[in-house]
Amino acid sequence: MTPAIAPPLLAIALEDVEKRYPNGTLANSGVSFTVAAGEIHALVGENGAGKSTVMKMLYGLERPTAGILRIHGRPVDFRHPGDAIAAGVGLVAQHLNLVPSLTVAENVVLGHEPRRAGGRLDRAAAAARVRALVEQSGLAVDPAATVASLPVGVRQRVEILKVLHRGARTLLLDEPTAVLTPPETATLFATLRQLAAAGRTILVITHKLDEVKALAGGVTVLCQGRVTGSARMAELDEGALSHLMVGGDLPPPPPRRTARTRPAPRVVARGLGYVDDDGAIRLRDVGFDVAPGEILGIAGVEGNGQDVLARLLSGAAIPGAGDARLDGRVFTGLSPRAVRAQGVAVVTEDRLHDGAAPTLSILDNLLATRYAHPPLSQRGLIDRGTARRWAQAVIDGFGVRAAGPHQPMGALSGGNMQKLILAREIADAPAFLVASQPTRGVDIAAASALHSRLAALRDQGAAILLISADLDELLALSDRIAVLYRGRIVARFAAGAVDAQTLGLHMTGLGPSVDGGDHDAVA
Amino acid sequence: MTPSREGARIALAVGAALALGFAVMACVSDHPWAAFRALLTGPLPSIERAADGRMVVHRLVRFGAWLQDATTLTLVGLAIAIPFRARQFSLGADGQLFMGALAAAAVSLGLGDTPTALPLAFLAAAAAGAGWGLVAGLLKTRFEANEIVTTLMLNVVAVQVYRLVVGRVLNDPTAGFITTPPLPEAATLAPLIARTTVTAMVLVAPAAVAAALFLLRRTTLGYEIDLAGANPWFAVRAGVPVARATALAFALSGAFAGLAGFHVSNALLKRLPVDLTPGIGLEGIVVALLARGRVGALPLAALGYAYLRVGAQAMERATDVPREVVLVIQALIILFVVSDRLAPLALGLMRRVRTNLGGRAA
Amino acid sequence: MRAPALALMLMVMAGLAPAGARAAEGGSPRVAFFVNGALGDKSFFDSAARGLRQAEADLHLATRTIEGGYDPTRWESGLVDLADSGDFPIIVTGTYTMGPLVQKVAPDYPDVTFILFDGVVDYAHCACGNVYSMRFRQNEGGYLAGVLAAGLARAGTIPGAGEMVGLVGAMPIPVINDFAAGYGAGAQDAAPGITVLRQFANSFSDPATGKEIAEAQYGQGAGVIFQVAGATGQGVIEAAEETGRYVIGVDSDQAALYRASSPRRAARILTSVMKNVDAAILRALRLWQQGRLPLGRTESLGLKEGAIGLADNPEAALTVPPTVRAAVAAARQRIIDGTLTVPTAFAGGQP
Repeated sequence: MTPAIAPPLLAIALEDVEKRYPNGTLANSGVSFTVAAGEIHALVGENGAGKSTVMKMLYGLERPTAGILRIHGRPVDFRHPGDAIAAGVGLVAQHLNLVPSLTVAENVVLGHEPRRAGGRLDRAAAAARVRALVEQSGLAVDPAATVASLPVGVRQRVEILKVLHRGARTLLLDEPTAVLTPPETATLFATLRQLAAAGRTILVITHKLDEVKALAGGVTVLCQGRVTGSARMAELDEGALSHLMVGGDLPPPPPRRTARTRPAPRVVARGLGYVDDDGAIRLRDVGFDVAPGEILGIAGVEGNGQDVLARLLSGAAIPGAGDARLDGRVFTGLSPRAVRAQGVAVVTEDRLHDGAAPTLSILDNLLATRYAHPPLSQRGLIDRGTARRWAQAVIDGFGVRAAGPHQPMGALSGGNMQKLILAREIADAPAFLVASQPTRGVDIAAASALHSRLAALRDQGAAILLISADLDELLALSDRIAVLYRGRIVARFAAGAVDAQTLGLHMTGLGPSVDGGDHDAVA
Repeated sequence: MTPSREGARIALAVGAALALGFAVMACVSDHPWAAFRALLTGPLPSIERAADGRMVVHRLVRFGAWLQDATTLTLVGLAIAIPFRARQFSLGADGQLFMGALAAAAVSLGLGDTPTALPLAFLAAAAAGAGWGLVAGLLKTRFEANEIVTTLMLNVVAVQVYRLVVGRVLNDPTAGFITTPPLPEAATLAPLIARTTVTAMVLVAPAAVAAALFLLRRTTLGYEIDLAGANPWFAVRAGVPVARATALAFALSGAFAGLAGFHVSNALLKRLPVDLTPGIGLEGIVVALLARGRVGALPLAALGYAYLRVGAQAMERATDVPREVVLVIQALIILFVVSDRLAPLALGLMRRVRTNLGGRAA
Repeated sequence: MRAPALALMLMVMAGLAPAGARAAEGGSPRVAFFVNGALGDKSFFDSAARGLRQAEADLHLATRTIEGGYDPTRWESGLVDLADSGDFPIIVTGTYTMGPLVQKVAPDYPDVTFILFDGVVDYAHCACGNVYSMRFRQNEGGYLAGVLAAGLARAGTIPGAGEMVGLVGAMPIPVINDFAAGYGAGAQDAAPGITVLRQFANSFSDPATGKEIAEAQYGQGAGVIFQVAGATGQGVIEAAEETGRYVIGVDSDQAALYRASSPRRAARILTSVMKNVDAAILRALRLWQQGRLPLGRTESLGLKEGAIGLADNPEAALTVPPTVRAAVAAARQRIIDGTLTVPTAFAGGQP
């Protein structure tokens, strides 16, 4: 028996918290866990497991229907975020919420501005205050820079500064690494550790096992709205943790293609270039081949031309130079409909923007690329019965957690939505699939399922262009990887011959150029 | 929101608006109760026992005016609600109605007393309205002209074209005012109920709604319109012909407004005066708002709004409440019904009060 | 579920329908005046409403004015509703637009008396024994306005104006054309060769356009404009005030209407061609009360019957040279005597 010591002060405590939405959905039930002051605590679980709801309750965006929330020991009843902020709780949302045209300092003080007599913003005082905050927190940001000019990783730091400026002692972060490159992630983790060392408490949502391992002191796993496990990291090995997180063992990663003899390329792109409306060159002389049954990975820091490339290949934009052919026929410069008619399918980067219609039903979303052809429609009339049966089959076949084909798409979790989108795109067995960020913001189990589907499609002989910011995903799935930097391909690798560190160097323009020409560089 | 909750919400909104309306009436009228009763029962016929003991129906004309008004409102409501599905805010029902009425009258007068005059006038009205709607649709999809501006401007053009044609081309010199000659009898619709202006068009309106529903729910075009409205960026990426669907939504909307024009020319007035007042198309916006953009709810919304309009007229006719107050009450009801969060707020409040009371009793 | 509930609600409400309103107020018979537009035009409809008020005071009739609004699709049901209600033994309504509607409705309600002013029914083709209609010889008033306007223009006493007079009409409909025919003839007779401008606003209720047209005519050199345009004419009067020229009003004594609120405006109104709709309606109601109303026929009323006349406007009258005033008085006498026949726009030469 050790002598009784004072228990560590609890910064966050949930006691039997329940959240039931007015429509009857039970988002959380009997959720209890604690986070000690100064701890970094990971909240993990599949999409739709209720993690975000916990965050929302802690930040006053939702109110629990039963149970007690305590912040630093005191029971709280947050009616809106203002209450939470007053209690020292701050939220760094997944979708950053900054005004691009304002400076870092202006963004940080927004809503809590130092004012001069007469109510005008005191810019000097704001800048000084933010400088002090930067120094004190170790978050490296130039307070005078305009937010629009900053990369995503830095913008996230601005968001954290904003929360700190409001006096937060407890920080909530919702999937902070989803938009970051590996170096940025490393920087963020260092920052978070520093903040925790300074006594701040951090609750972070993540999907990634290695992140939990690298960062957290404690972990709580949610599954279907309930806590299925809560532990201190010191007590867990990786196997136990992954078991805890997935509720079982993960299926093994899809086997890499084994055939080493490459057939003739199915997709041939040469000299693709694009200049946007402002005259900026977004893509320059990009060429590549993709063979049937091959996955070509495109790596790159966001904004280096991947989005433009995907748009050119799907008919959403017309190349200023060059073209791409599928089985010998040019398919760039056509309408999206014509491109699809040639056998090209597209998983867009931002599923909520142009990958789905969240207000429409699952059924209507699945129909989008197939409604005009039999058996789903005949002579302009949609066969709703056939369509419904097909949608139900897709839901079942892809393991989508949904109430049925008529549930609105927007009510689904990211992972389930993405499964349906991929299902729709591969339903007609496309010859070429352009998949942008196919597992962004998706939980481990769903990502794993999506990866298997991509591999299966590959094995059927489709050519796949995989654009991803997740280097682990690229390394696991691709046969070859090309790196885009400032609109050009600066490096090409065989997937087995490269690691994340090397890719990271090329992605930031620091690697020696190893572009060996359009086809291929390394066999 | 479930239909029953939605029903409760609307009932509450109308109730609140009527209560407030009554307060306004109490301020301006010496007999607020009589005025209120006139407003609420105005559109209904009264059944009385005549001296010889038989039941006699009076004021059937008001009932007729109600149905007639609801018919027009349903059709112009469709003209607003359909582009709304494609997330287009068309204000062009007025111009399309004028073009439809003009086409119907021209065809009727041109064909004279022949059996084909009626169906051809009907089709001509729909076609003219659709054509006029398509102009706005093409301006939007080809030239990215804001549809609110173009439809309003096309309204002005349509009304002036109408006046020109009625005043110069189809003018009846023997009439004491500027108007077309009376339309030939074979081209007009006879009243279904004696002494009213209720014609077969009262059946055409729900049929039009059913047709629109079928088109939107069951056809590929309807699906394209829905998808274009729900997320145009997605629709484009998925290969849906968004521009075509949007333009056709305008044309479709115009066809229904054109039928409203046919209703005016061949069923109600049976000749077209030069000073036919613009504005009925804009009432379609109110109806579409009341139906919250749902096509299936349009007939109910139109009946409700028409009831109010006819009741208001009855009130004005029978009591000392001035026209302006009547308009205020109409506006109040619309305001309350379209205020989304008002009723849930009130319902929540009531529930809280009830739980509190219950708690105290326990 | 919903449909039966709705039906039930309707039945309950039908039971509540105000049956009582019908037999109420026993005593004096009630007169309804149906306006196919709105009051406030300071002209035709307002004049008629004045006649109704006069009838209330002089004849002890209960009257009620119902504004039908400007939407023509609602006029027929509005008129039928009044006839059907049984509350009103007499219904008064006016304008040529209402003529066909009265012709359609009246045979269904033989117990109701219809008084139609400034409009006609076709007695040959309708069982309209319960309709009395009056038409006005507005061309006679137009003639006097033409003599006055042209005389004043030729006298050359209006600064900046040429040998030119104008007319602003609402629409080229027979009634307005009739005014214009008389006006043109009067102007030519008083000042042969004078230019008569004429334009239509295409609306009875658009003062802005009225003002625009008037400003253009004054700009061309018209010294006097005769406005025959209902509420649109208010814009013409405004233009007269702003340019310092003259205007002749119509239907009501428009100078009197403006005298209190806007004396400067009233001073620009030389006179008004009164279509004494008020007096004519009062006369008709009096005849009805005495049981002497000639139902089933049309009466034509003009200068002789006092239904048409010129209003006195003392302020403006000073502007008019005595010779011109004498010419107007002489023309008036010759028309009443029948020695002068004024041209008309109505087919058959008789309004």
